[in-house]
Amino acid sequence: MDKNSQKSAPRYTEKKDKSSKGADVAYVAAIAVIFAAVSGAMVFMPRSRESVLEQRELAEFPAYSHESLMDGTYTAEISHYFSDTVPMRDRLMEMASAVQEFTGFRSNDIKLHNVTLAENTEETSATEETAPVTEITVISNGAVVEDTDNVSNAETEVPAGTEAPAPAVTQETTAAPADDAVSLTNNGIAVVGTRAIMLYGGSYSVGEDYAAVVEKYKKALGDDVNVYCMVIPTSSEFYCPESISSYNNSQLDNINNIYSHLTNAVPVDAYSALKDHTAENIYFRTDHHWSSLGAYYAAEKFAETAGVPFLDLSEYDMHTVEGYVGTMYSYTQDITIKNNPEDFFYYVPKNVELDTTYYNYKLGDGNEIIGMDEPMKSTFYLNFSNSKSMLYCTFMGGDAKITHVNTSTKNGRRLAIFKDSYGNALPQFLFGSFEDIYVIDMRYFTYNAEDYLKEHGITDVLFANNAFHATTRSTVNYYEKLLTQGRQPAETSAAGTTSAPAVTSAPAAGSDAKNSATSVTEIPEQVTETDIRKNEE
Amino acid sequence: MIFADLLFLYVFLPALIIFYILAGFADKAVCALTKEKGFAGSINPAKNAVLIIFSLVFYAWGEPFYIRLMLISIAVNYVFGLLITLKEKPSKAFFVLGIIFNIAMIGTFKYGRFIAENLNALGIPVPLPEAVSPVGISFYTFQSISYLADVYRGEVKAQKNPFRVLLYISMFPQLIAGPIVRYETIAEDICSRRITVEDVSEGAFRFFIGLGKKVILANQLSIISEQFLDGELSGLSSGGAWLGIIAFTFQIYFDFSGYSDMAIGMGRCLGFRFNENFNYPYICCSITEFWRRWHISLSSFFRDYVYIPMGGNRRHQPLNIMTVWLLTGLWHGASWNFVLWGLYFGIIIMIEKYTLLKVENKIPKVFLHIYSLFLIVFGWAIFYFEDLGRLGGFIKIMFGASGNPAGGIVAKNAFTVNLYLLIAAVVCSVPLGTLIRKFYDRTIKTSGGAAAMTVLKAAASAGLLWISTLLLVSGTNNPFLYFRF
Repeated sequence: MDKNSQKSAPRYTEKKDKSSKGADVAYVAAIAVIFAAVSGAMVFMPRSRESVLEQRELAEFPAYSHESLMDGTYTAEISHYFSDTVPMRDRLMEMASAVQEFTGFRSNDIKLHNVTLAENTEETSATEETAPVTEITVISNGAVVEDTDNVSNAETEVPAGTEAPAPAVTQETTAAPADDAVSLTNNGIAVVGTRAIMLYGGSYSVGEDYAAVVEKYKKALGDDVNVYCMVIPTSSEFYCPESISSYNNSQLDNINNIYSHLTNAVPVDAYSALKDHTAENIYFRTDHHWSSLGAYYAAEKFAETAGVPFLDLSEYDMHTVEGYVGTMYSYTQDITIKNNPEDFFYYVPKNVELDTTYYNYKLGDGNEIIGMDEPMKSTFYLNFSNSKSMLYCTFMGGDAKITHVNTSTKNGRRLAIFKDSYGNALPQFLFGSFEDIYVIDMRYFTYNAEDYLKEHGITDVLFANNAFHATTRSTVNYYEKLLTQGRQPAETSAAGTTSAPAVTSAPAAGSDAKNSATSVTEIPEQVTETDIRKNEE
Repeated sequence: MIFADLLFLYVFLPALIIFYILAGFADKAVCALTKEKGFAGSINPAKNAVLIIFSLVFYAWGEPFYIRLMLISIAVNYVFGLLITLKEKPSKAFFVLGIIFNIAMIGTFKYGRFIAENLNALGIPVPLPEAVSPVGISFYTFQSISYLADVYRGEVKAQKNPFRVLLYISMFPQLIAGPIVRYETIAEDICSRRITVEDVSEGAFRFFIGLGKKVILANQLSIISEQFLDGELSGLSSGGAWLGIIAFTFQIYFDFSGYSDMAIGMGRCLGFRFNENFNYPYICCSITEFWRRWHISLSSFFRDYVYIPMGGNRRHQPLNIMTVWLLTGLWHGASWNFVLWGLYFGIIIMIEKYTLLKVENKIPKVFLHIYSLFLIVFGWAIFYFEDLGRLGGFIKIMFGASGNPAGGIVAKNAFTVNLYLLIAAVVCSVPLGTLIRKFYDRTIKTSGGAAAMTVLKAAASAGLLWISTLLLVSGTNNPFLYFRF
């Protein structure tokens, strides 16, 4: 550079310049090749269309409009599209999870994901909620879980006078029909060893309202119909280590509180049925659901309570799909979950004939109901062995539907189950106990519940919700709505005109009638994977 | 658009590189031609044109509407630059008018709502304008002011070619997050620049370092800070509060200095040499020193264009100091906590001037580091909470005056699962790079060393790029702190 310094040490500078110039050329050439290769891959490789891991369809290229260009959304959506649909997205996400594991170590084998800061005091579970029902779509690590049926954080106690937390909080619109982005009383997720557990933050006051709405059904249906209430504990009740128990409310206390507010409806003690078997695989480690085995013990207790016959486990064929990694991986992106898959299993009765009819709801982009398909006959168990993260959809293919199963059991008992996704695992064990089973999701039902139950001659109604949902405000609102909807013009005309399509008069969508329950068929054409993904809870 | 984004990295940047190289050939051809005909030309119009177009696309991508505001600002400042030097003696009137224009513009678009809110609070009813704060307005307005001031002082000549002013202000590496580049620094580069392979090598490496700082360190640290600082204070433990604010302390440093590194690196690859913006601020021994090492282009702006013109240390120095720090605080955002944050540092620096700096050499360094870091971390708390009520609550928790527990499993767990990240943050905050640099420079002169060092450097670059890419894919978690400035 400047002449003086070159003069003072000419040879030295000369040599440095030469060798470092060579090094610079080599370096620039190397990174140019690397950068060109990665850029080429990013731009020219086929873009990802959907994420199995996150269980959602990925962004689409935005439609152009002058307004969207001028307000910046058009370009923002292109940027979003480009990073959302990156080639081999799931594989890259998995590698990122592995990289993120290097940020530290797990003491006592525990990693907490988005655990709320408010430690529960001993009275927390009894305190009144002051928070509006909020629905946070940013789950752990800031990963936004869009459109999938969220198990979202919500209803943590927010002291009055403080502002709601900033990230993506939207007011839940309970008015929207069947908004299935359910808010759960969730305190975050703890990964303990290889098990992910969602910490429970339910509160008493909602539970009491839940009991009250169940009682309303009992009152509306009268003495001839049995109404049962089964609140299903989740894995955090049995597998939460002592060290984090202060962030995990007691589900037992909440369940007992709900049951103590039932007067005519009959409680079903699923809790003790499950508690006796915690050494067995009654909950999935990688998914927020219980397993079929857990459902078996709960169903046994229900059958006992309802006084119906019950088939022993030996009367079933057990089917197993290996390599199941459920929802907890997409929520936490915790590589430990991904690296420790488990078996998904379900039970098919050997000697019961099933005739299953689906009344599927069509859903819009916001998961709102926009219509209903023609009734369709298919099997109760669907094959999801090719999309393993959605194996829980094996039962009926998800939530957004009414399912009617006519069984070869003839005892005059006709059951309706009002449920969240936990309820999906129950019917498999009740086919030998009831003549007809109607499975109704609390979020997807457009008829008047009372009319519907009466029309179909229901003798038994089971409310089967997990403890999170049973203490979540939106659950109570759903059930309230099902009782009042569809009654507008005149109550008197309800019987005939607003009726649901009866099974007998159903157009023969799949007229091949009785499928044998023991053969698991492919997913019917009408049920696309997309529908199922949207429906799955 | 922002740098830490896949579309920028893998579409915008490659496209720019291709067009820039092509433009380089065009410029060379034109140069050869003009030389033949006897013109002395080492100008690069094609490269400048490519750079202007890409810069405008870059800006419009994030701010498609308010790009017109930036273009108006550039046009007005160009004209004022000419008007100031219309006569032999620089025109003070035009200079003052130009400064007023710039202040009025930033006052309206960045502080309009803040001013109106406070007037309303004082009982003076004025309509509330929308809070717009166009991206980068603080940076390009300040560059414009420095341009007019330098022209007025005769330190640079007013640029007669409007496209060169446009390029100076809108050049995308420094456009939206600094550093605040003075016209003088790059005036020559704009007209005629030569890019050596050393420039590209150094610049590219610097870019990867900056990318890693931003994506690998800052973005990951932001998960911790958000967890502890954005939630409900009622359940926050003291340990959680400290962990959160310390994580933020590192996050904002790596976020901002990483961005500066990327800007400086890209500038270098394109043939521009920007000044350094950070110099390991967290190793300082006093707050005075901290501000000589932190966001250097901003502090030197206030020093040269506010403090010294006001009289510096010759006239009413305390007033000058407090004015500078009030403005520094306000520059960071239209909110009272930033004012408080600026005054906080102003007061500390004033006190240091009369106490600490006089006895600094007699105090063991370790105490000076602890003293400085404590005040810096505490300062970031003021910076973080725009809601002063929340700030008060947070400070109480930090010092155990809230009745909240001291520790708690959540804070402990966040600490252990992020321990290596925090250690990496500490290591990268000290001048380790300088040591490595020395080692590199020494080794590369030995015969086998050059090859080894080159392989290492390329491997490190590829690693940083790849890990950053993975984390960008997985993270929608990509907040950019300096956007609002």
